[in-house]
Amino acid sequence: MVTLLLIFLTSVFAGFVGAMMGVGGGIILVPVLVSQLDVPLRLAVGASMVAVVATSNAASANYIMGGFTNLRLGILLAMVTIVGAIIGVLIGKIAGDRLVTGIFSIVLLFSAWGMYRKTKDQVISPGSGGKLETTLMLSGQFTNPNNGLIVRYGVKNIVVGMALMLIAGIASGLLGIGGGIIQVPIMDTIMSIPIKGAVGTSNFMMGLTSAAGSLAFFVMGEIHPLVAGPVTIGVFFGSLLGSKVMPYVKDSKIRHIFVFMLVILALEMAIKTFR
Amino acid sequence: MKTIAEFVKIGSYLVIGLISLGFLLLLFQMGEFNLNNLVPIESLENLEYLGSWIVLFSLGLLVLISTLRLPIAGVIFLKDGDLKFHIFSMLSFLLILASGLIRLSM
Repeated sequence: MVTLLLIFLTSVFAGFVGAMMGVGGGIILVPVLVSQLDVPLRLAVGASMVAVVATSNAASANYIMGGFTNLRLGILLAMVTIVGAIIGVLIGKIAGDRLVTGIFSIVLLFSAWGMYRKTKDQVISPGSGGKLETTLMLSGQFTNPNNGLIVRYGVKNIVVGMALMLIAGIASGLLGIGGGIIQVPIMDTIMSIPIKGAVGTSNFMMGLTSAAGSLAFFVMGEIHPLVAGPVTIGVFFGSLLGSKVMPYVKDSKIRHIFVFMLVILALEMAIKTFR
Repeated sequence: MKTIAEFVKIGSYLVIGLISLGFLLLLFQMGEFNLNNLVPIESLENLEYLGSWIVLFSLGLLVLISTLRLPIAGVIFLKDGDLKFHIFSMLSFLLILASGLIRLSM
């Protein structure tokens, strides 16, 4: 019963952090399940994939209502990440694990550096992101509960952002992750979306990218009721809490925690590459 | 957009309720919570407990709810006369299905 409680509490924490950062929470879940609870890696990753969907479902309702999810942008970018995920699966069949983890460790370090240098949101006004932004009506707005001000933002570098989202999708397909860890930095640093908007939109997108992935895990029998059951319940409630708290957290804090997570994951992948 | 949020919220709460019930039933049937010698489920015939079936079925429903956000958004965009995003939503939905089929075939 202690093990069950530990799984549940870890999942609540992973869901809380995941919803606040726009990621799936697998970075926390998988290492704890594997190293502390002796769950086989394949079953831990399977549970983590469903957890990403649970995080996305739980948090997206709050984020959509709060205006933090830019639905139009999310759908546009999700199209690319899903294609990327398909490519990722195909690449995974050809490329070696070491090459993949090595490349992503470098990508993550660059993302961390980009986010670290950016001390605050550099929001551009709606309509100033170019013709594509205006045509597709991609600008968004939300009320920041910290100061009660309405944040109206435009989206720039849409084509570049979409191209980079393909990489996020490929990472998702290759590594069995939600992809939020790459999506948020792209939206934040390249597309000039406010960090809270990036978190809300990423949260919506990663549930879609992971949905297809988890189907395969189901069929391969790698989603085990004894692991995935308590993980999903814990992650769901953690995400509900995280999505309620996120709007009140300072932007700089979200960015700092995110940079920390990026560095940890980059190191983890670098260790896997050289081991 | 409120429709999508409400759909996901109500659907997910119901599914989480189902998972909890299934998991409690599973614990009751097993008599203990033991992760020792856990292996992938090679065949559905290995699922000897009703609780396991309920948990897996509910997890499948959770994934379905997540995916169904796209066609719902597509219908909303169509109602608003936004044909471009109706096509994008439906295309993304089809891509998810295609992605699932590709993974299954590998």
